[in-house]
Amino acid sequence: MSAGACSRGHAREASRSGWPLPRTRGLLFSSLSPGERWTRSASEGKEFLASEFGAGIGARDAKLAATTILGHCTRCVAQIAAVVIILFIVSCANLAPPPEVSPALISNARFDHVDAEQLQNGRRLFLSHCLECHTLPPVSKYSRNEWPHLVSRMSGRANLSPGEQAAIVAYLRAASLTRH
Amino acid sequence: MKQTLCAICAVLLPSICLAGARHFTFIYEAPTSPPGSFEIENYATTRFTNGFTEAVFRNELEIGISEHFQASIYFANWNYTRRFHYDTASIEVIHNLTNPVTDPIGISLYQEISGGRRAFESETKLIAQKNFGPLILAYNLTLEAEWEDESLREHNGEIQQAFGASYELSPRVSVGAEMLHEVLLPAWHSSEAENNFFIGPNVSYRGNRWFATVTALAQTTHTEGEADCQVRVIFGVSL
Repeated sequence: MSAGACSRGHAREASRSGWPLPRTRGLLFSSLSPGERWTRSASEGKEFLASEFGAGIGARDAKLAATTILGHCTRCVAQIAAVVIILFIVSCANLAPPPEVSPALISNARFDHVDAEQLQNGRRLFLSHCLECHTLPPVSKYSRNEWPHLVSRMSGRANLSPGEQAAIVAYLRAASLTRH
Repeated sequence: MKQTLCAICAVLLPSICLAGARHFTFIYEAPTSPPGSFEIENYATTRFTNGFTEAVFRNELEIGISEHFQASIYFANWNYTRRFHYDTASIEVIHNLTNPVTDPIGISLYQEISGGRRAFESETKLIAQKNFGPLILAYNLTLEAEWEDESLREHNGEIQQAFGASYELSPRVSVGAEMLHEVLLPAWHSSEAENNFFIGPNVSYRGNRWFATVTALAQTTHTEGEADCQVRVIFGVSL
């Protein structure tokens, strides 16, 4: 929501609330640049709005109107900040799912003498067993040599048999070399 | 008797391990426990309205049956107001249909049946989840029907929606928020429906053989007779 839309909404809200809007409402925010509108402190804003409204209505009503408008402004800023934070988190995350078993991945696994079926099994187990406790890290986050130790440390928790553990390690070692 | 118990333990113990950890307390997640896994989960929910109102406890044994199916037994659902009161026991099953990472949305179906002296309850849930890297978004839609009192004459319904987000700061720690919207239907009369809305933060820690998750929810609807705030703790541990 833009700052303009926000102030329009607040003017409508104040009108609906039963406070008569003064003739000077066009000047309510227009005398300030957009930057100034948002950088004014709450107390400055209250005083400013009270003085703007004060000419047309009682000072008490003006303060009530000012408090309501500032409350809405604060909520708007909080909502925008929340959306920005969520977008930042999502953009920082590697959202690509673990890579499919492709010829390139099978080729990476030739050093470990692992076939495609074992790699498929490893990927399936990685997607189901590991996800139960935590989100899945990007396969490139750890090196070929780090994965066996990490999987071994958590295999008890994930109830993995030695064969299942070996399949997951084989898949992750091969996948860590792929670019996706 | 002792020999029988020892024999059962000897068979079960090698396969016993810690099942999954929970990122939320009021919301269920789509993935199910790995097959062969066993876990004890203890729930404690404390409610406050101008001070302490009540505490509700549940003790659950969770068993991973297959890759996409898990079952649970709640040995005891009990509460404390001025004294401890045994309420019901429950059985719960969850069937996972799709994966929250590889599929567009992870879906699971949940059914719980509770029975006790003068109480019978059925709870059906649709669990939806999507993972975006370390961010988990989860949604539950619940339909609850309960019959209480002598001859189970009193019957009530509840429709519940819950939405939560949890961000994994590390594989051990995650923080997030949960929102809960309850529509209470006394005697299934929509004209008497009562809407309650709760929102609050959560935090979860996963140890090597245990996990703990805490959520504190505050009511934003100011419904009389409903808790102003509630705190739920789930502590899970391997056997």
